[in-house]
Amino acid sequence: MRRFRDPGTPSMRAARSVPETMGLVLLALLPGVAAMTLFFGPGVLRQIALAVGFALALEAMMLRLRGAPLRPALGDLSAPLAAMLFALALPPTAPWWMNLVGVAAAIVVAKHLFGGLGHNPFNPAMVGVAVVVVAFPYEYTRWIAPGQWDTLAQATPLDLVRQQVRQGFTLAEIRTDPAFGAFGGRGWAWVAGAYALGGAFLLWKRVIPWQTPAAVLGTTVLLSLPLWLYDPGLHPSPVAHLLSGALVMAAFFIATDPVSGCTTPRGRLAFGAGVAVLTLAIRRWGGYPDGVAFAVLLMNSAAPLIDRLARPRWHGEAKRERSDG
Amino acid sequence: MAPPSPGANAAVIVGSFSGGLRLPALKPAPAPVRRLPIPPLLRVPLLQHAGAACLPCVAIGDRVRRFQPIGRRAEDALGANVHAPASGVVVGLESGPVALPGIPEALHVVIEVDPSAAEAWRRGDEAMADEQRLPPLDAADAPIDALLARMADAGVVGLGGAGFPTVEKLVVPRRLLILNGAECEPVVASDEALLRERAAEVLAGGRLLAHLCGATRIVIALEQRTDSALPALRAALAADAASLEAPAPPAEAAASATAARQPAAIELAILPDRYPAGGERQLIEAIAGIEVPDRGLPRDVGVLVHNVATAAAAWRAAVRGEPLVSRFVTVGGDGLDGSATFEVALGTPAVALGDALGGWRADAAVLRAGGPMMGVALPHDEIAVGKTTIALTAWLAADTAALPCIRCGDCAGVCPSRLQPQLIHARLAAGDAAGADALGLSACIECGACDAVCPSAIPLTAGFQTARAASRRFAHQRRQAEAAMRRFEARVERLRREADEAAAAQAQRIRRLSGAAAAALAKARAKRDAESP
Repeated sequence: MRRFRDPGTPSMRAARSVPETMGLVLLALLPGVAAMTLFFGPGVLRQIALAVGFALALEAMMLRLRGAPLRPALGDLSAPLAAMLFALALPPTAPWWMNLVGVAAAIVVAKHLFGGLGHNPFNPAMVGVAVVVVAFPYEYTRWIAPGQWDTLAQATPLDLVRQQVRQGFTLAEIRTDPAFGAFGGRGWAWVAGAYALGGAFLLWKRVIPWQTPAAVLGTTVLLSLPLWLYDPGLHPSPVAHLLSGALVMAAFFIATDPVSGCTTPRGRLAFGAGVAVLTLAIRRWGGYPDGVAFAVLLMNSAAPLIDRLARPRWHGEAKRERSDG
Repeated sequence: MAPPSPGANAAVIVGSFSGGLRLPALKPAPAPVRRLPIPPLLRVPLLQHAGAACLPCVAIGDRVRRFQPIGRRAEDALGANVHAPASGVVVGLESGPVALPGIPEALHVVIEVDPSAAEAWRRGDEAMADEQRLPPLDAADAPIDALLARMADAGVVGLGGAGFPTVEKLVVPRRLLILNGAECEPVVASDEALLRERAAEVLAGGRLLAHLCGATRIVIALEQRTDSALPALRAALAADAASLEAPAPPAEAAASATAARQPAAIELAILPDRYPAGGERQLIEAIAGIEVPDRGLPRDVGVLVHNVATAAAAWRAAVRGEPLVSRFVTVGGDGLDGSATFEVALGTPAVALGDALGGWRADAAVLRAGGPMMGVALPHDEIAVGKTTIALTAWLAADTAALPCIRCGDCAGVCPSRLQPQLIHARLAAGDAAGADALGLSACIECGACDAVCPSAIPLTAGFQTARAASRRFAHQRRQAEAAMRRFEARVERLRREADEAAAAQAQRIRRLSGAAAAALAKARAKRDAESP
């Protein structure tokens, strides 16, 4: 008599493992990284290398402190991915300690203090960015001019728009600044395009759902188009909104973080729309030049509630009569 | 290839259902089904169905003939009779695990098979010298009660895997009968083989079942990739349709009542090759566009779903008087070299099927009664083939340790019940059973699609199964507790009422007594007054 065992799960799998998924996202970031490096110099790569190194060290440290085995957590590529997303939001010339503070906030606080992979309510990379932006506002806004890697640091195009609109300049006047190219911020437009390319790859591979990026980008256009048509002197065009700053990257790589985002299809639409609305609101009225990080974190906190409200009717469930109106 | 017949089965329903996922077919190459030789000892389980095990009606040393009952359904219990698959001598009655969900233990009747019976089986004889058939019935003219009794007598149960006694499903009137030939699990192809070889029996059985439950519409459902069975099925459908167009029988007046109920041409429904297309609720959703209510049954929406093999077995039981003693079983999986479908006598041990294809591979670690998704994992290979054993599949170990859920939602995308397994899993992990119920846990059909796509390899279905069982237990306990509460309250009420009544009776008696006493006193006084001067 030959004995067999009960595996407790089906004997057929059609799944991509977590490291594979994370690896594909890292792969999809490469065009964006390349474009960033092209326009902002090797500082981009230095920040990525530093952040990934810090992240792996801190991940190992936290796993040890929590008494958890290093494998397979250290090899699941989630820490390097968070570190890379954070590093891409850092000014290329930022000092190493700024990088370390951000990565520590991401890995130690946002990820492990909440229970590690899968348990963090907030997007670790965006927690890192938010901490750095709040803690070092001066250093954070110093970006080098695209193509002039070793010359002076300057404000980002979005920062410029915000400051100068407040000083009474019209957008047409502001656009004459060398920080702008034909569409959005000079160089930034190419970077956004490269990220969109990576995003398309993720959509094609079905690594990310279509709802989130569609909602982020669609809401941005829907919201900025009427305002821009009403007064193009005061409000940036949808294209300018999309092609400067981190919206495109956020749409494909940040708002799609499964752990801290919504998981229901309609919830993802709401989540993406919320990220876009909050980002534009912060760009317009907020105290920071780009609000993607804050927008994502705010929506993270709303995600459980959205999922609850957006749950589809299950098979055979009686039609719900919504009484909460 | 059979030429397409004009007019017949022109209408093909193409249905669809929520969720699901595409899995590799891995089906055995279509080939004529061979009979698996009967082993010298058959261990026939007395539990091969949903419900309670049969009571044995033979003793050790008894001679049994093929088709003779060896186990009878217990009175007033859900169950189905079990019959001897071959003539021989009963040499043992022993308990052991059976190939049903939960691997319950049940009594087995061990039959030492006559060499002549084994030889007749091997030759492919339909009728054998030493057998005990039931009297044949006319599927169309026999009284409904006789046909229903036959289903019970012949031990016909759902052969798609659930093993629910057929007669219990037939006694509830239905509008629509769906014959389920959609074998969505990889490897499993026993129904496909049956349709290739016995399509006419399946359709005749379908008409019989429709007749018994009053259904006026019959649909036979297949997966798109069941191409090997399509020519035979189309030919049988055409023949069936042609028989309908045949001139009306002479006794028109008498037949008109039944003719009105006679279903029209049997329709063919082609489902997408997406697991679990053969799920009962998925079939009904795809074909009738109805969702069976959560916690409800198909009978609530007037639909009956029967496996195609059940239809064929019902027809054989009625028309040929053959109880259910054998079935088609596919054997395969990556723990075996090759795969095939055999006709197997019930009671044949699993190992005999493995050996027919050269034995399990040395590194095979999992043996399932059924396909890779929902097949019951068997503890060893001596377990016997039963009525519900659609397949025996062996699989290599796939040890992937579960990682934390990353809420990717892939599971929700494939869930045919449109649940959010990732949210239910989180609720259960937090010990919130009520929260999991509020997310629709009761609608889970335990198909395992979520497990298959989980990047973290979390055993979601196993967790849901446990929680559903606990929830049912809890509901049962609550009902019991409520019943106990009602009994207690009734008792308190009764005692109070009895006390009141006793008190009232006492008061009455006292009043009566005191009345009598007063009367006596008055009488005495009157007497004294009268006597006094």
